[in-house]
Amino acid sequence: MTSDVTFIRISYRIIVLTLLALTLGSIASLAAIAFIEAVDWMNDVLLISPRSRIQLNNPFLLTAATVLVPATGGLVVGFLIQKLTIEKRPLGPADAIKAVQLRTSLPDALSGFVSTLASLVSLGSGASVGQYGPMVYMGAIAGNFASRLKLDIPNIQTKAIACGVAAAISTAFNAPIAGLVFAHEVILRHYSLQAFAPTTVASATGYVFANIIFDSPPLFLVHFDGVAFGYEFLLFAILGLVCAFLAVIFMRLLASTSAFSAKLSLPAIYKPAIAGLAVGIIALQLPDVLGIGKEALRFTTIEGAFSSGELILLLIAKMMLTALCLGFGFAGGVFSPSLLIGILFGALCWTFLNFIGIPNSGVVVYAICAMMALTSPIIGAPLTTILIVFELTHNYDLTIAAMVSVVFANLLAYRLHGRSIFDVVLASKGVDLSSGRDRAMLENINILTLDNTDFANLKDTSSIEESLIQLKQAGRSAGAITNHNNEYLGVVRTIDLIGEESQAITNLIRKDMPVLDEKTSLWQAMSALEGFTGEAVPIVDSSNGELIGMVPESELITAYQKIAKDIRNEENEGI
Amino acid sequence: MKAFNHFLLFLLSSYFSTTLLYGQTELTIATWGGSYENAQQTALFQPFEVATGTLVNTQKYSGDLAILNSDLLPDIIDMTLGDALIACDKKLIHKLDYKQILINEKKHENPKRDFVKDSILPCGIAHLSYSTLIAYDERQFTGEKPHTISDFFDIKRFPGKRALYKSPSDILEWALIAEGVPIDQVYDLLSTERGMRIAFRRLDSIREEIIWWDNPKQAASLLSTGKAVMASGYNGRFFSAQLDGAPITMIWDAQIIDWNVWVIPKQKDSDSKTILKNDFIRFVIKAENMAKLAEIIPYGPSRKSALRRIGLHAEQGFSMRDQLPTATHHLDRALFRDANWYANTQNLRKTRFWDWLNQNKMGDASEDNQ
Repeated sequence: MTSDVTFIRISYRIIVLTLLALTLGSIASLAAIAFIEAVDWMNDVLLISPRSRIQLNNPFLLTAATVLVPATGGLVVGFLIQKLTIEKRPLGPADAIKAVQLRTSLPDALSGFVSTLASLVSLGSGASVGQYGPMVYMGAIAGNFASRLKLDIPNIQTKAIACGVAAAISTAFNAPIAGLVFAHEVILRHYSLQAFAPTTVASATGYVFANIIFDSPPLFLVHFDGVAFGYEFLLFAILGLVCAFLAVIFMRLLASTSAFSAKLSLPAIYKPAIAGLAVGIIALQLPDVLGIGKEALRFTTIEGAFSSGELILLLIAKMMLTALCLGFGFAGGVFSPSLLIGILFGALCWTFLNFIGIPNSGVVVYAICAMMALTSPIIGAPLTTILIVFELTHNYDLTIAAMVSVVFANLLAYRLHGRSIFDVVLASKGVDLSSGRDRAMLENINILTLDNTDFANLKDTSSIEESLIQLKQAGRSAGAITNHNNEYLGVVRTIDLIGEESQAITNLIRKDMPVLDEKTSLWQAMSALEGFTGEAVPIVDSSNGELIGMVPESELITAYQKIAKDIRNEENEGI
Repeated sequence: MKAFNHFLLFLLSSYFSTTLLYGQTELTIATWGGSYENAQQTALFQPFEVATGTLVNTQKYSGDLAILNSDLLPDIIDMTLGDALIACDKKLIHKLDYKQILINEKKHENPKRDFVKDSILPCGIAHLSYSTLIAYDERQFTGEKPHTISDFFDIKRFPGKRALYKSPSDILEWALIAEGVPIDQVYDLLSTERGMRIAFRRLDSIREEIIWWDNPKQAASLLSTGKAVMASGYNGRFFSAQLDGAPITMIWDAQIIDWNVWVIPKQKDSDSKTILKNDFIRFVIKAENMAKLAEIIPYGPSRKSALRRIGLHAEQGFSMRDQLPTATHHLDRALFRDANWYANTQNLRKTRFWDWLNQNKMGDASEDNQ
């Protein structure tokens, strides 16, 4: 792109990036397949899957397993997360988003591995959580490893994580275009050819593994003959809006359960077991709540498989139990539960349409529309969900219908709640991506990381002459005054001292001076300095009032410009 | 003619065989009758008689495990895989002595690799695949022909009686597939209460049109006599009926593929009898014998080397490999029966099936067709 990049250099980058994308695509894809297989195997062995449950001709053992397996799984998950991870919480797509958006590193590899293992146990023992979040995170781990190689490629971490994530989604859904778009929509959040090219290669690799080498069955196959009536598009839009409300309720439920769980004075290690026990007890009456619910997902597209009462019951149970499981510390995602909640809700809405006597094209299209309309605002990926419908069903009519619902759902949910559950989670941890990536990156840089040692520290006991000499020696036009305890008293400028030799120095302190503390971020510092003219700003320890140092304004501006340049390069570079 | 053959064999073998002196050179094989048994006679039993001088008797068998508790216990049974798994579990059949059975196998055709995966079971050896499918009477549908399993359940577009095997086999799978369930997910969904409910609901929709059959022979004859317009049955028997001129066509959509297994019921045997039984199994699972059977009736052998040997039909002269259930053009929408699932859900399925039948006795017409 730029003239200083030679032809050889570009060729090197293309070859290395392609190889990297192929490797990462293969690893992330194999990991995703192994993960799915392992969950299926555990579900069979632990009597979670209906297929294993029906073959056990022992009612007592079945009841015992239903109640005890999710609870025991919860104990294991609690132990893994609380004892073996540094973060003491399961890791997921939000962590990958943070690492890419802020150009920071992922949490440590051991925590990542343990968290994945905990998701496997959660899903394997029937907790009501999703499988795609952990798979996305595995892809991110793979990408993160690759970014540590010394390959001399600019912005390699971003690209490598995007590659891993794209391959994971591509494999999980058998949908390479959706994988590619997901990586852009959720992880990268910008479009640049240098990231697009390797991500595409990785996504296609994932598809080859899933579809050609392992021949995995698609998530769902439906038969749909097309939308019968024009006015149904209006219904799809309304369905989208209603789904947005339900999505917001679900996200709020998740947040409030987490908050409730945090308040409970119970060791965190035991919390997942409580959620597991709840799942088990409810599953005695309603076995559909166990695990991912593939069977229930399929049944909703069959007319009359559920009565409306059953739909409402399962819908509420699934929402509550998912919130409980995730809030109480099971490891897993929200994608699969959202799909199930959405599809149940769609079938319910279709039952209502039939009840009031509106002619329509059948349950399939309403179920699929609602499934995607509910899921897309939760994961913040409208394009991805539309493409998943297209790639899974190969049905154009169904895709157009889903598109209408998805767009309206996103518009409304964005206003009511935010871009996605990941963004809301990150915002609660101080990473606010809603006002742009530059702000989030500036927020993430602590003021103490900038040089704050080069300044004049004046004492309150010094005379004006002594102080002027000290300022001259330091080459500064302003200095910070401290007392004998090193407590910060204020800032004086040279210009205010000249001709005031009889005054005590503390009388000449400037009143309008902004003060930063050790927690101030670069973004906050930039905001505090709006309208400020001066050379440097004091940083004062908020706990004891001691002076930490002074950060020159030029340092702030340099740091800001570096971030702006990094983002510009990453988002606009060719290859 | 056959009796005369046997007499000749008897003379021959009495001359050569020493075991005859002890009156033990007889074997009773329980098998399924009709064109299938005829094919077995030609390809397997008679050549075995010639080769060993043993007299092979057959005993009629229509599936199920009741035969293992009867007084007339056969020496060897040609059982479905699901039944064989249950029988093995209940210890009603012997573990096979593969050291003896596979003793003469050529080293270069390692039987472990030559046999299709999971054919060599502890208590039996899967020897052929057969398909259960729907066939229809061409004379009944002069316009549009049924071609999917959904058409079987569509009594508006394709009116007329449907003949079905009176058992909770196959029909539950077909009912779910007709509801739009993908083939891959049939057993997953049928494992839920909801799946069972939907399957029986679908069966309800054709209840009035069902004629039940008990004997596999009946399926094709119900079609050719015009008593039914569609019938479930086995591909080999429908094939034989076609050769005999019956105007029937098979619908390969949603065909269910399963295996037949040679098993040895548990009973007190002399050593020589045990050897003879092993001799028999060793003989009938030889690749050339399996292929010979498949050239008469299109059931797929479980050995790759046997598949490679299948040639043309002796009289008709067309390739028999294309007629097998496992021929690629038949596999698009084939369901492979989950035999373990079948074995483990047998009681449940039976209970549900009989409950459903008794809800309304009107549809039961099997007595009329005996």
